[in-house]
Amino acid sequence: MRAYIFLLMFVSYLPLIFVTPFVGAMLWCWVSVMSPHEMTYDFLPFSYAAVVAGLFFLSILVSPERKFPPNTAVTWAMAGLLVFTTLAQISAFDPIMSYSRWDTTWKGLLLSLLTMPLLNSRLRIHAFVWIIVLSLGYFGLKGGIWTFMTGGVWSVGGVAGMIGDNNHLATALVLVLPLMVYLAFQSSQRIIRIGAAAMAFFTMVATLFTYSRGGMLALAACLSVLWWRSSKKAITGIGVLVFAVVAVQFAPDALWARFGTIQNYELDASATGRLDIWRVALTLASQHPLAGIGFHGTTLPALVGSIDQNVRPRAIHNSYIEVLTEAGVPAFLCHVTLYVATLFYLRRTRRLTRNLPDWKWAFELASMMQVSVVGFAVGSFFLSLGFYDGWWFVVITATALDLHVRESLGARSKELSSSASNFRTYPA
Amino acid sequence: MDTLLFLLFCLAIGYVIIWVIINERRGNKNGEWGIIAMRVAPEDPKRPSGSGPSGRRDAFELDDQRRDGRSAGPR
Repeated sequence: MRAYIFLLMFVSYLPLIFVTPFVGAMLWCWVSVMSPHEMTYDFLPFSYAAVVAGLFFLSILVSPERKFPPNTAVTWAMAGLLVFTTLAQISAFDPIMSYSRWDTTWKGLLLSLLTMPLLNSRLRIHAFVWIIVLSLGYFGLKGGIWTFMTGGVWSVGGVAGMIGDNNHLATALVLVLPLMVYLAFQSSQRIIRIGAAAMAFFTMVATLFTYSRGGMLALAACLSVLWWRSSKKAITGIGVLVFAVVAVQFAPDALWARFGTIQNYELDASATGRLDIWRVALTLASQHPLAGIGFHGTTLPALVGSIDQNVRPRAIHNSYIEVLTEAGVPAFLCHVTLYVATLFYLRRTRRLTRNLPDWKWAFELASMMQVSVVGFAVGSFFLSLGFYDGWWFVVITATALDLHVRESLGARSKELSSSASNFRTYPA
Repeated sequence: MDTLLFLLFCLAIGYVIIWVIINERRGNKNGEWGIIAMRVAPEDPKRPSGSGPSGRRDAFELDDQRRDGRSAGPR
């Protein structure tokens, strides 16, 4: 029944892509981040994502809207990632195993690039934030409610897509948590503000109860910066305090025991295994600096054994080393550029919109996105999310926000300049 | 309950899509139509209603007024 209702909804949304290609961008974001089709009985012979992507392309072609991404550092870094990850796939040690990740990577990058020029107004940027929040907020709200229902004795896990793993889910939730706070502050209706704040609270609970140590560190970093960057420090401070009290009061001993292993990581097989695979991965990266070893390369026993036979083949569990090892140094530089450029754009947006009441929304969005970037950067250090499309959606939203602010404020100052020059030529 | 929540979120996605389409058709820059409308900067009644960034009339507006022979004093 659930599958039929979902299919009905999905099919009814598709024709709207031809009203504006931006609908295609929103649907693509939803399908790729939430992967709703993987949570229903899949009886269709075609891929939902492929249908959305195909119609999105078609809509862009026939639409008069701008088709090419703007000339920004993020655009070039994403294009670079697209090229270098493709080279990594071509030269991969096991192209068949590597293919599935490359397939999602190139589609994610290309459609992110196509989405960027469509994010050209406050309305669209706000709507896109809603889509990202709803796509991930489902897991946060559901996980938080489930935690309270079960007393937190079971870990919250992902369901589908790249966030199927509990560690990945935790970091993805940290990425989206500040955006929920933005929506709670920037929605005009009280019911929506309360709803967004409640979703943020349950998302914090769900993140903690993924039992992910990396997620916990990311959450701690996120909440610290969230309070620092928030324009309503009293409200966010109380929110964080309530969450901390609830966590301390109700969290089971198993959770604290799990987080306690961070202090004695050398006694934990999982933690030392990660350090070992990082060492092996860095050695492999130094041997294959141009195009890397291909996706999932460190799960190949022969390849890992060629460096150290005592290390178990596994995922790298560090996004930065993951990109460096699997796709090479140029891809790693593009990956780092995404972080640096995004933080630069957000800082510039904050600087330009500070003290402008009409642009308070942009100031708050930029502030909250800074929190997202910091949280994700910390979480990424402990897991393999180097090619996560949810992160790219946040990056393009930050870039579009910066462009929108600069173009709008530039147009306003030009308007004022032209009126000034008219005045000078006016006879006295 | 899980199914209900899932379908609710899928429906919410559709609502956001409709919200964008209707507001763009109506030319609402702040998405005034719909429950997820955005907050708009409040007008300060004590403040002069100029178009400058702080709400005050900027130098260009004052120049325009002088040029037109109007008083540069409060409106």
